[in-house]
Amino acid sequence: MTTGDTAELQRLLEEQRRRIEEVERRFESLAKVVIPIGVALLNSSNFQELLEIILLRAMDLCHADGGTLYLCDDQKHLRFAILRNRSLGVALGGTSGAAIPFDPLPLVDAKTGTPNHRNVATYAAVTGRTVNIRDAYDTSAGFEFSGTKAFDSQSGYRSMSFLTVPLANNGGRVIGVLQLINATDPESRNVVAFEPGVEPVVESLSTLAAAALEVCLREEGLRREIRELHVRIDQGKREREVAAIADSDYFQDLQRKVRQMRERS
Amino acid sequence: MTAKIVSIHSFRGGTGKSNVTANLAVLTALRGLRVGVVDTDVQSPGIHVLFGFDEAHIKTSLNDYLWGRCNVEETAYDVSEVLGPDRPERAQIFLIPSSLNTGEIARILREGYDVSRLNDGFHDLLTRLELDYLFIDTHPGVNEETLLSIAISDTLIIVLRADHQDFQGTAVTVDLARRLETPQVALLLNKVLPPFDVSALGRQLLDTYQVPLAGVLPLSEDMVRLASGGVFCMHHPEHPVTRTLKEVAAGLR
Repeated sequence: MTTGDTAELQRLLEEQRRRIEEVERRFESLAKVVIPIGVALLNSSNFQELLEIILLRAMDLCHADGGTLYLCDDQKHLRFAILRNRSLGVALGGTSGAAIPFDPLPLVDAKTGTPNHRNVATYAAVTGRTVNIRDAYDTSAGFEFSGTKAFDSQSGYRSMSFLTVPLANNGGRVIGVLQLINATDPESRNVVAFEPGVEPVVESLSTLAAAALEVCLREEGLRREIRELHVRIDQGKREREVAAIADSDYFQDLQRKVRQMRERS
Repeated sequence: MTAKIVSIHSFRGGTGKSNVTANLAVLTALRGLRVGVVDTDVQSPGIHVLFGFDEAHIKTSLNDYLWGRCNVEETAYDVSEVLGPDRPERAQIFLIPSSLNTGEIARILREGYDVSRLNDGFHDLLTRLELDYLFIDTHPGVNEETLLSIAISDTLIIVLRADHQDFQGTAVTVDLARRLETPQVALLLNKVLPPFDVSALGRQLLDTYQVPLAGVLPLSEDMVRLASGGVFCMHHPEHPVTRTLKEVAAGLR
């Protein structure tokens, strides 16, 4: 075996070791992070609380400073359902009770009628793909971040790294988008890019989140239907049906006999 | 006390009518009373299952009485075991089953029967078995025997679910009961899903039908789990469903 062969073998072994470590890390994330979050989601039947659990747990998982969860209720728009930013102390939507002042993002371009690929969130919603962006201000990714930049200029914040993951239901239909902002290095506290390795973990979490949201929405719809149930009677039909029976010989005979019976007793 | 006849009726099947009948009968018997339960649902009999009564023991059924083959008291079976070992001294419960024989069921459907004989049978049961209460589990819908049951009853309990077809059908039944001058008519709302605003719906029902709401029973997981494996109140004596049924039973005239 030559020195070159040995070096190649060592490189392969090192690569193999890294792969095993990566698989182990992913397994550990699933077992220790995603599954417990899934359990927490199962235990919540309050929709706003559910939104909050999904967003905050995803932020914790990726050491993100901020995040937004969008929902597409009508398949035409992505609406801001909950927004959090830790360093700014901003909490809108969810259980905060504070309304989010941003307009919904159209999923279809009104002028051209084509899918809206301009915003990263709408792109994730219409394509069903995860997008990991190192710096929103670097225009090479081709997305428009005008909303983000407006937010930054008002608040003095600097949005940088974005991880945007679609929330797809069992049938593959996207029901919302989870967007995490500014991954933070736990030691240096510097804003860094989202590690590509975390993407599949957040995607797994998103699958659970979509399922929990769907169940919750279905239950809420059912509850609303039940609450709004009114006793409505078709009076014409009622009178016709009663008359058809009450006019019969049998009924009139019965009526007479019962009256006599009651008078006797 | 004068013996009383209580009919349990529903406009459609699946409302839990037989379950309500069996439970009200048991809760009434447990007050130390003699109670009879007639299964007049001759087209699809089933209440015997709730009493754990083996159909192989049916020698003569309500059908035999209706065809004049026997006296009505010969169709009554003592099922008091269902009341448990601690039942009050006088408490007794008799079941008058309908035939499960398909030939007999077909004959009833084909030929009908003399409804006035059913009326005589009810009264003979009251006197010959010295009953305090006779509960009639009726066939869903409106036909001659349900009208007769409604007419001769002291109390009519209409079991309904919170859905539009039941609301409509109940309106018809209430009107007919009013014309037949049934002394006590009450509604029992069954299988209600938890988030219901019961008081608002109760007010609507009272406004619509002008008859009182005797009780509201939630759709109970425990009830579903028991399926038809027994009389619910004996298996779950402290359950909210049992408490409501007890109040309904206590409110019977």
